[in-house]
Order: sequence, then structure tokens, then C-alpha cells
Amino acid sequence: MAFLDIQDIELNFSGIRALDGVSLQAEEGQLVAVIGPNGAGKTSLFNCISGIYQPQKGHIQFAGENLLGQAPHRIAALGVARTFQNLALFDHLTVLENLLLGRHHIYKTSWWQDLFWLESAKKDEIEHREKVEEILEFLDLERYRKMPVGILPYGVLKRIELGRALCMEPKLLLLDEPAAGLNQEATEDMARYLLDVKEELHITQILIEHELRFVMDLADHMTVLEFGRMVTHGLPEEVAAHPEVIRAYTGKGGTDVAATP
Amino acid sequence: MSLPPHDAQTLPACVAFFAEQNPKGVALRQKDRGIWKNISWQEYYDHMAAVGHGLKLLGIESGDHIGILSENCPEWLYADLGGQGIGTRAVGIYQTNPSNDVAYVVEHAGIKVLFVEDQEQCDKALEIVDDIPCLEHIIIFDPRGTRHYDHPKLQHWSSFLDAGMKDYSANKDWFAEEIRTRDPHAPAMVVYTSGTTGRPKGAMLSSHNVLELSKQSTPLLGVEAGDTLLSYLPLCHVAEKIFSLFLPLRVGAIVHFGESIETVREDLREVSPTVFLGVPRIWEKMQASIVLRMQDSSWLKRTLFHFFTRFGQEMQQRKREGKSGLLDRVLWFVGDLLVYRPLQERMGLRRCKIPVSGAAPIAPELLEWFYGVGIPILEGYGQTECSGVSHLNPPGKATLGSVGQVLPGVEFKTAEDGEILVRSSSVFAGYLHDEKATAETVDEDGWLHTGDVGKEDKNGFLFITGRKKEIIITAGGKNISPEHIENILKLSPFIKEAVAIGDRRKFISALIQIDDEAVGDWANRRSIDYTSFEDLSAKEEVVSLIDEEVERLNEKMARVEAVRSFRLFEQPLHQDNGELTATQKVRRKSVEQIHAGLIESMYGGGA
Repeated sequence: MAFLDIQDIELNFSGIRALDGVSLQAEEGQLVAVIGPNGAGKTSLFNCISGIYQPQKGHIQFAGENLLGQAPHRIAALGVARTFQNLALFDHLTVLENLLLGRHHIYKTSWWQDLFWLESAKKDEIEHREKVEEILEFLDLERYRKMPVGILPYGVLKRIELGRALCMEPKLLLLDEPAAGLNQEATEDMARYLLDVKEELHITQILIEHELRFVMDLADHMTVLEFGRMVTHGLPEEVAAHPEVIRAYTGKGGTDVAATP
Repeated sequence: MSLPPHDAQTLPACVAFFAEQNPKGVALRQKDRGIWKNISWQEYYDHMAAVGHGLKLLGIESGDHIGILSENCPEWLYADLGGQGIGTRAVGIYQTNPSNDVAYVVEHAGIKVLFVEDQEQCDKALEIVDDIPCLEHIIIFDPRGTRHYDHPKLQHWSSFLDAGMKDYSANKDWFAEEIRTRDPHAPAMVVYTSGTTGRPKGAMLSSHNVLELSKQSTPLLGVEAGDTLLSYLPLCHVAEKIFSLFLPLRVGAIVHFGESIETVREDLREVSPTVFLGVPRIWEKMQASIVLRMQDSSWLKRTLFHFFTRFGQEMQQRKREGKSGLLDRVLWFVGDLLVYRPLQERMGLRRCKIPVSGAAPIAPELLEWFYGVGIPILEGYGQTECSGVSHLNPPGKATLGSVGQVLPGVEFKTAEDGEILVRSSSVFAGYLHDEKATAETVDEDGWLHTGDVGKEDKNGFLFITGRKKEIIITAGGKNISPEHIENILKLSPFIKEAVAIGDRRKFISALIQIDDEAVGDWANRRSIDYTSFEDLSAKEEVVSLIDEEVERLNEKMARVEAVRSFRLFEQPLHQDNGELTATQKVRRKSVEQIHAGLIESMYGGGA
């Protein structure tokens, strides 16, 4: 069985079918892209994996564990981290503090140990700080280390959001449109970082995008969703050559409201 | 730990000396993952030796050339000095160089081993490696992102160093013996001069050249063991070599390497070095950032700042004239508590006892400002061809606007046409593979022709007037130095770069590049919307802002020098199309060619 194995998921909201028979597999260390227009069900799929939504049908297995029915914090503890389309950072905290928060679930010491600043708490804190510094270096964020997040430009925030997720030391990383709203240069940088995550850290990544171009050179394989259904899946070249995808992305051969973002 | 002056004849021998006398003492510090980590003299030496062994294993011999294409880092020094230990000459290459410029240097010097920093630099090297047969090995410091590269000539620094380390532990004496057999008069490094005119030339410097220089200048400046320095300007340039290698290795001072070029400001604050070299652009930026910041501060702070910076400048002026009295001293004390100290801390220069400016002429007004806040910058002067320095302002006795007095051990005179000539044991061994240029630069009697024109005052202080070849002669027959005009224009926080025009013209004009940060900030405050640099430069408000600035600065110039017309560049000047050199100096000729239409428009012709 694949590292992440999603079979035939069906998700309904009082009569609206958000996901209809969606399947997706990712092997360990792979980068898999999920593309599709807005409202195709991409983020719903992520919410199913991370336990926020409970699909009515199908099953989701991750590293041999069944994720269905588990609480979100349990799933996070299993090593599933995600980034959000609309950033989820604390504006008044520094970059460093935001990243440290990403490690909250791995803090071993209890509050009273921290309160008295015991040896164990110190040791724990140093370890966390070291990991955070590693990520700061990995994403070239050193110069922002002590700045409050609120004053930083959007492109940097997207990187910090990725950094916060990496600080959780995840086995599976769910990335919700990490390049949305970035300019050309920042988009290229982001692609570079995602490749580095794959090659250097060997973390399995599922990447949501509505832009085909961004994922073409990144993904090992991809799945295309539309109106909650799978249009196709396969290697990037195969997917890009699929007539339905061409229709949706270039607008050729028909009019489709869903294709315009 | 203070040691008696050593008589090591080469730079690797200096490291060997300290490694023997003070093996655990701190030689270098590097900020790694947020923490400054110490590197001892012994570790410094061991790394250097491992590089020497590693190069030997690759079949590199004395007289071969190696190249280093990297940001400043300890590995830079290990590669350079390890190579010098076995007689190779390291050539530093600017990371900003596009791949064809890298190819030129690699081919011209015949570089056999090229050390590259990271993926970005590695890509450049791989782009050219197949066309340059002499390049046998590429060694990458940080292999991130290159895991799937499988070029046969590429290897990782860690495996290169491991192999060298193994060989070194099998034979501990070989490298030490190699160092001992080095001839201090043989070329030990090649420094390519940026060349505002024509192709870069490779100046060969020997150990003797550079150590003579530090022998003369360390006592003069007062650099001692335990002093701290920050290595941040490009190590390919002789100026940073002086402050990262020549001076520290003479006395055993500690060199710091920050996180990256982008974190210089924070690194500087954390290290708070006692010896600091800035190029004029760095000093300008420091001053501009303080002045801009002050606009946002409270009324009280702003008033104190304006009062005390003005007072500071006036008081320093009186002090130089020997007229300063008790009141001055009391006020200075108050100003120090309220203004100067916080400013110095902000800039990271609180502990700095030797602030130096070099590599390009600095405007006296800027020096006055820094003197006025208690940072007495010493301006120096020299060429790569004389190991970097021939003149220096002595601490406590500086003359503003002058580049200082000639160093002890250096002879100096001005030729009939005013050209500055120097002769010393620091004058270089010649240009690599270019005897013709060498003969044009150093005459039969050993005088180095600097190409600069200058005057000496009665106290022996030298004043530079300009480049011999760049002097503007106006239609009215006046000799004017464009650099002088440009430096005055650059005093404006809104002007980043300026090129003065006027050779055989009726009047002086200038092409100006706005400082996009400062002007952008100015525009934001006035709710002027803009999209790009080009858009910002084209705004009417911006043009009139620069117009006011030019009018204001014209007051500081002689009548014939006044800038009567100007145009703004639509794009920032760039290295890739030849407008700037690798050290970000303006290539006047190419700018004049590229922007000929713009220039003609100021003189009533063309576009």
C-alpha cells in the first residue's frame, strides 16, 4: 500500500457533493500535485486528510494508520502538517516565535517544568531552537529572525508559513497554494524551496494549485479535480495533454465557467 | 593572549605560528544557525592543511591557479591559504559576475580547480566547464539542490576535505614542510582589478608584498591581537583581503563571518567590531538610514538629533583648528549620552576604534557627519597594484578631504602632469600573462603609475583630484573631476548613483539614478502611487524632488562645476549590460554609450 492512500472518498454537505469518488496515492518522498479550478474540492480534500471534515465514504490510510475518524490534533501528531492558503501566522510575534509555535505539539516538558525553568525545560528549549534555526537557514529567513511577522511582505510570509509547517518535522506536508499571489521571482524561489524539501528533507508533499504551470516541473504525478470529481491523474506530461485539462486551462473547445478563476 | 610580533614570511606561515603558540585561541567566528561559533587557530591550521593535501591529491602543484567563486566564509580562507601553502595562487571571482565574465577569468588565469559557493554559482561553472579544458575540478561548498548533478568534474567540499584530512593525518609534516619551502617573493595570489575601462587585469601579489604592508600599517592604525573584524565586503577585492587576512594574520585578530550578505546590519550590531572597513556606499547607506529613520521619530528625539549632529560637526571643526574649549567638552559629553552613543550602537560601531573608508573616494561632507557623531573615519588610498594601501590618515590627526599621508616605507612623488607615483616593497609582481600592461604600469625605476592625479599639502597630506583619464575639460577649457561632482550629488539620500557629463560641452550635466528605497518611501508618505522603478523615476513629483536636491547641492560646488541639467535613469544601472563593474563602480564609457540619446537630449539634440 502507498505511503498515503486515499480511496474513493465521498464528502457531502447537506445535499451538495463536494467530493465524489476521489482517490489519490503518494509514495514516501514524492511530491504530488492536486490541481483544479476554484471550488473543485481541493481544499476539502485537505480537510478530509487532516481530520477537519469526515467523509461519508471511502478510506484514508497514512503510513499504515487509518486517518478516518481521528481528531485533527491526533493526525497532526502522526506527522501531518499543512500550510494555509490564507496565512495562519501570528502578526505580533516574531518570525522565530511563530516557528517555535510550529513545534508546540512536540514540547515534552509540562507547564510547571517550564515555569521553574528546570534543566529538562532548558534542554528541550535549546533543541527546539536549534531545529527552528535549521529551518530559518533552510528557507533563507535569517535576516527576518527577530522581526514581527506583521511588518513583513507577503512573499516572505508564505515562506514563513512553510517554515512553520516544516518545524513540526512532518512526514507528510499538505501545501495549500503556496505560490498564490506571489510575483514571478518569489514563485520561482518557492518552487526551489519545495524541491529542496523533497531532495534534502525527503518529506512527502501534496501540493494544491490552480496554476498548471507552477507544478509541471515540480510534481512526480498529479491529479486533476473538477466539481469534486477526478478528471484525470498521471504524470505531468500526460495530464497536460489530456483533452479535458486543455479545455479547462486554455479555454479551447468549449466554454466553462469553472475554468476562470 | 598577546604574542610578540612574529616574522612569518607567508600568510600560511602566520596561521602556523598562531596555531603553535596559541592553538586554542579564537581565530575566526562564524554565525551558524543563530549562534556565533568559535574556530580556533588549530582548527584554522588543520583545515588549511587539509586543503593543501586535498589539492595535492588532485594533482595540483606549485604555480597552478585555483579560483574561488563564493561569498565570504571560513572555507574561502581555508581554500586560499591551503593553496598558498603548497604554492598555488588563488583568484577570487565575484559572485555577481555573469557566467561569461567567470569564463574569462577562469580561462585567462588558467584555473584548474574552482571552488564554488552553492547551486547558483555551480550552475555558472557547469555552464562553462565543457568549453574550458584547463578547468579540471569544481568543488562546491554547499551542495544543497545539486544532489542529482552528476558532472564528472564536480565534487563536494566535504568529500574533498575528508580526503585531504585523511592524507594529512597520515603525514603531519608534509604541509608544514611545504610552507617552509615557499619563496615569499613568489606570487601568492591574483587579484583581478575591476577595470572601469577595458577587460579586468590580474594583479599578482606576493606574500612579501602584503606582509610588508601589514607590518607598516598595523602599528600606525593600532591594530592588535584581540581586535575584532567583520568580513563582509567581497574577498576578491584587495581591500577586504587586507581586513580579513593581511592585518589579522599579522597580529592575531579575530575575523567574523556573518550569516549572509543580507544580514550585514544585524551581524555588525552583534559583533560590534573594533576595526571596520566600509566603502563609501556603505557609509552613505548607514547615514541615509539614520536620517530617514529620524523623520519617523518623536519631536523631541528629532530636535535632539538635529541639534547634536550639527553641534558635533561644528565642535569637531573647532577641535581640528585647536579652538575647542570647556563648553564644547561639556556639550559633547551630554551629546554622547543622548545621541552619539545610541547612534553608534544602532550602527554597530560603538566599540569601533578604527573605522576606515577606502576603495573609492568619499565625500568630505559625509566624513564630517560621521566625525560629528563620534565616528572618526580614516580615509585611505591605494591600488591593488601596491597591495591596497599607500596613503592613510593617521588616527587622531586626520585631515578631512585628504586621503592621508604616505605609509612608512613607501616612497611617493607626483609626476609633472600631477600623476601620483609610488614605490615600495608592496608594489606588485606584475599582471598575470600581461607583460605589456605591467611595463605600462611600473616603470624601470620601480615607480608604480597610479593613473590618479593629486596634490600634496605642506604637511604631507595627499588630495586626490581624479582619474587621469577621466578628467572633464569643458568647452570653456576648465579641468573638472567628474568624481568630485558625483560624490557631492550622492550626498542626497535620494540619489544613489550619478554620472557627470561635460567633456567638451558647454556646461556640466548629470545622469542620475534615484535611490528607490528612499524615494519610494518619500512617495509613499505623499500618497504618490507607483508600480516600478521606471514608473517612479518618471513621476513629475520625483523629477522636481531631484531638481530641488541638485539645486541645493550645486551650492556646494564651484560655479563651473554646477550641474545645469539632469536626466533620471529609467532602469537601475546593472552589471550585466556593462554599466557597472563587479565592485559596482560606474563604467563611465559604457554608460555614456548606452545612454547617448538621453545625454544629447540635455544638450538640445537627439531624443
